[in-house]
Amino acid sequence: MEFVRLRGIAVSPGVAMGRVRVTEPLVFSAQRESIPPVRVKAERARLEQAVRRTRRQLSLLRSKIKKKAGQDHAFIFDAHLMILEDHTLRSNLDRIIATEKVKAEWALCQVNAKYRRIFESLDDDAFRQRQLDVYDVLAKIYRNLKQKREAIAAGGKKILVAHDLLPSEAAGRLSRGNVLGVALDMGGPTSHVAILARSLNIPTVVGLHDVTGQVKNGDTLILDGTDGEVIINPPPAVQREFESKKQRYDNYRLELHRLAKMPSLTLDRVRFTPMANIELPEEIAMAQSLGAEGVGLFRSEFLYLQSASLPDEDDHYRVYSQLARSAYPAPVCIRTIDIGGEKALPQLKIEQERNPALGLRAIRLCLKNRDMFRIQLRAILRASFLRNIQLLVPMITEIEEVGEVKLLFEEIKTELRAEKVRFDENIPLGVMIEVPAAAALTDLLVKEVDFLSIGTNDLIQYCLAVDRSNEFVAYLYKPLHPSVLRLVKFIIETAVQAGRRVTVCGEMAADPLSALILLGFGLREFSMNPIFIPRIKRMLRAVEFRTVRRIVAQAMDLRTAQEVEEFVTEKILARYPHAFLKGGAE
Amino acid sequence: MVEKKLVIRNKLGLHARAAVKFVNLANRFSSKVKIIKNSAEIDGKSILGILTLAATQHSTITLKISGRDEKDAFKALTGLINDKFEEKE
Repeated sequence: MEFVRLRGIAVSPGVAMGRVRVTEPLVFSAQRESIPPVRVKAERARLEQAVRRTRRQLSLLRSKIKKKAGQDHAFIFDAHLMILEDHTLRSNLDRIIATEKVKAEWALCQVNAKYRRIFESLDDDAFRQRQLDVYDVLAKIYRNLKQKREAIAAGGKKILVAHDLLPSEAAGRLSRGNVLGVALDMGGPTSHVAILARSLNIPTVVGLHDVTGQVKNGDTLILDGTDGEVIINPPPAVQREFESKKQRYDNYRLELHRLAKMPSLTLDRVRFTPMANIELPEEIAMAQSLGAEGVGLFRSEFLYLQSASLPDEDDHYRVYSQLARSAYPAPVCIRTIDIGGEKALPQLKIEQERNPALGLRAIRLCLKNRDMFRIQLRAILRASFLRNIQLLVPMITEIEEVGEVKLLFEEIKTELRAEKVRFDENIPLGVMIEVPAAAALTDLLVKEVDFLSIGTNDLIQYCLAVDRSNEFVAYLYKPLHPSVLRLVKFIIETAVQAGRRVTVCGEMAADPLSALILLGFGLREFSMNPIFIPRIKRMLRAVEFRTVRRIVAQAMDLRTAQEVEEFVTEKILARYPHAFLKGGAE
Repeated sequence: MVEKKLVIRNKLGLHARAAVKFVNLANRFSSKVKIIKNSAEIDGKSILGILTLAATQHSTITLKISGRDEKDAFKALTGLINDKFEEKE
């Protein structure tokens, strides 16, 4: 049997299967219908009634969306209600009916055309687009002029197919709870529909070009908002395949949400903190929904890599303050630029280095380019006024560097105080332990800073003198190498003894076996790519700290990475047969 | 009548959200509120009027208010504009 597969842009994940409801676009009739002069008053009353209905619908939608998707999405209705009440617009409508002696429909059509002309003449694209809002409101009034109300589409939940959806239309239709999925000809990942669909958990595929031309009401549609695929009238075999895919996805999602809400405690009730490594402020919501209890590492490099010139203080500030607000009250740890070496920065014209991993990078580069570094530090301080920001400095090699950073930091604080700019006077300052030299100095470093963060990827590379991207030596890159473990153990234990917080933000935190060993060393803060949080959280919840600590202590006498791996895995499995189970969330 | 030139400072300019705030505030006063940009003069209590001005960041507008409570209205509305419509940037 023939069936059609279409590919679009996946903008809201999930799988949906159901009957299609095609939404016709709202159009004005271009028909000019005259009325006798005596009917003018009645016609204006008819318009007035349609306006009242529209007002009621908009207010209702506003409160509904506010409840379901939050104040931000509801704002559009404040604007639409205000457009509805705009007296220039309304007097225009009345005047056209009265002077031209025409039906209200024609008046709406004329006023729409007038505003379209005005808005299209504007230079600014954002303002030009507001003609859609005027159109949206006028189209609503137009529909309400019809005496017969469109019957609320019967037949339960459907997959909504449309050419495009206006913002208010999208809000209205998606919030009714009878939409299984959405497929659109138009749209992109940042369109209003996409954002709304994600926040309402409705699988959505956009940018399908001509899905409206290929389906009719009542067709069966499979919609995969994860892959961006739409299948029209699939045969039973394909339907069954998708049924199970949907089942798996739904279970997975449920499991993730359940797990994200559960306390981060080991079986013997030792608290640990899963945190997220992210690069964009927009990732915070997703990270939190996966159980992140803060941002353990915000990489600020994208700010430098996305534009041809260096970012200015406000560019930094915008990103950091958005971060602070989105995560609030959870903490956000911002790592100052970790660039140089392999990640070149054309704006700074860094010379090609023979040995970039050992060259001018991270804090070394910042202390050489102080003006650039000051800009970043000032922005971080300014964004700290909510008191949930922490400053993290990468690649520290010697104590002198910490001293220089602190001096600079204090200078900037004094500047800001003089400018009467609010900031967190107690903003925590931490350093990354990535260089073995810093690791060996941990007992001295902890006296200088508020917290430590272990970047295990670089630490392992420097400790073992192995470039893991070099295929000839990559086999030597072993996170469980006893020497790496001794170093990490020393850092964690020293920090804990000194009463300092310590985080691991390298890949070791996301690897189940390594994470167990870190827990055994006394680590409590695990920061990782948020997609790994569920598996680490589930595993740590399935063990007792006491037991893990004992097993890990025994493993420290072993001679090779392989022995460590086998020993710990065997002992853990003997005690907790399900600890490494992947379960539904993988 | 009070009249003054002002610069729109917030990043998004007098966009929809800011316009809603402006109209809501202007409606609390009985005075007439006019906004002039370049040669266009619009009613400051009309959201569509404001949006069609397309007042982007750094554009200069003239606020013209007349009526019984013009002083209070002027103070409130200039405050809103200078406060970047309570936006962060």
